[in-house]
Amino acid sequence: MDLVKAARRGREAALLQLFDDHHLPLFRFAYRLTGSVADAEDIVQECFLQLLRPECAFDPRRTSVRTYLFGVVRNQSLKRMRNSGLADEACHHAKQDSSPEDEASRAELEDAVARAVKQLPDTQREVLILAHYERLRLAEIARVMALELGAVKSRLQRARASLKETLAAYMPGWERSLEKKP
Amino acid sequence: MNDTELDEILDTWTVPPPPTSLRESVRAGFAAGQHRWIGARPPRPRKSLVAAAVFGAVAVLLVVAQAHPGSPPVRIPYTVDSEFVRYAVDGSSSIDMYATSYEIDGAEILTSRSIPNRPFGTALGRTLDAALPIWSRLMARLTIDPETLRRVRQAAHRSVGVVAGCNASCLTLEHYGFARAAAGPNTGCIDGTIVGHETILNYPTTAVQPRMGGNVRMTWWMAPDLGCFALRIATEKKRPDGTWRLVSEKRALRVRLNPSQTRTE
Repeated sequence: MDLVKAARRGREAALLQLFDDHHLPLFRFAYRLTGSVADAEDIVQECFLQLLRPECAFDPRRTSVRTYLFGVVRNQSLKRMRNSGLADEACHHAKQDSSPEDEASRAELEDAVARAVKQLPDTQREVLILAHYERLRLAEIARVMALELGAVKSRLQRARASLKETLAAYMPGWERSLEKKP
Repeated sequence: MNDTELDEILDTWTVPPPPTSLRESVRAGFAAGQHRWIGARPPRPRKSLVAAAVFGAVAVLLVVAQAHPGSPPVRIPYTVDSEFVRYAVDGSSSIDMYATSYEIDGAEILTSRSIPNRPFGTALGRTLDAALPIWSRLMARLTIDPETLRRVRQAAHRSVGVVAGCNASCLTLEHYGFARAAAGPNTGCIDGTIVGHETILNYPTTAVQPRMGGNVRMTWWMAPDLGCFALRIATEKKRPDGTWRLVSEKRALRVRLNPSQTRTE
């Protein structure tokens, strides 16, 4: 019996197995979209419980459970960001001026990358996170986002081109500048 | 910057590990939702004979429940009279239901309830209150293996359940359950964010907002002295502009300690 069916029939062990198999990438994805541990935690919890509800549209003949869960996390994250205005806040931070010299530490560089990714348009950001950080195949990303494969490819290319431009200032010798720090 | 350099710089963005409570939250949410999910998905009987037997049993239960409404199975430590209020968008309110209940083993047990100005609805509601749990247990026995049932019952003891309102013109009750908080002086009976302290009907309560997500927020005012009975429950929904609107409320009106002590506001 597959795990989703078993969990829906009341087997807690099956649900926890699903959780153990999938929660880490889902949490990372939710965190990178919302920028909040608390929101990511809520979203991941909700996505597993949603899988069990009678009205859940998951159909194992059409998609894998991993793809379905990524789709739920994506929708929940976007909903939260719109409601809380996080997207606006992310854009605001991204527009702040700062020089590479001021952000020579690894933490600052990490912050710069996070801001640059958040500055991307929603769909480009999602494609980039799924492709780069979660190593999903483009075809699977297309299913998660309900897009054509070509649209996924072009958005990924645009996202990477945009990031190269945004992060170019941090690139020359960034590793060396880190090594100089105590 | 080439692709490899971009990949390297992107990899500097790390993610904190998920909270260790996440697994337990999912497990508690599963345990709390069991009753509703299983109840909402009754399986097809394997044989028509079984279906007929179940139908007959339910008919008998309905008759028995109507003949003996609300008979308590154990000695009741106290009872709380509550009113359930519903708020419309324009701010007007109406009483959905009055109920008398108590909390035992993490579950709120109703001893009686009435729907104002609807005697037939009250009778039908009481019948369903008595019959639905028996029906649910019967279905669980037929469809769930004993080991899983045992775990579900254990999980129920680790949570606190309440009646927060009613559905379907108040014919059925709206149950909620959340994981019980770890013992301690600053906990609020259930896991969640403590948002205040208040004395209700002379009982100290802790206001807790359990983790729910989505566009619904609940606040429970828990009274540890009454075995974690929720003396007040407020349910709010988020408006499109992000503010919260109160949609329903459960309010305790009187606490009766058996056999003779009574506290009123």
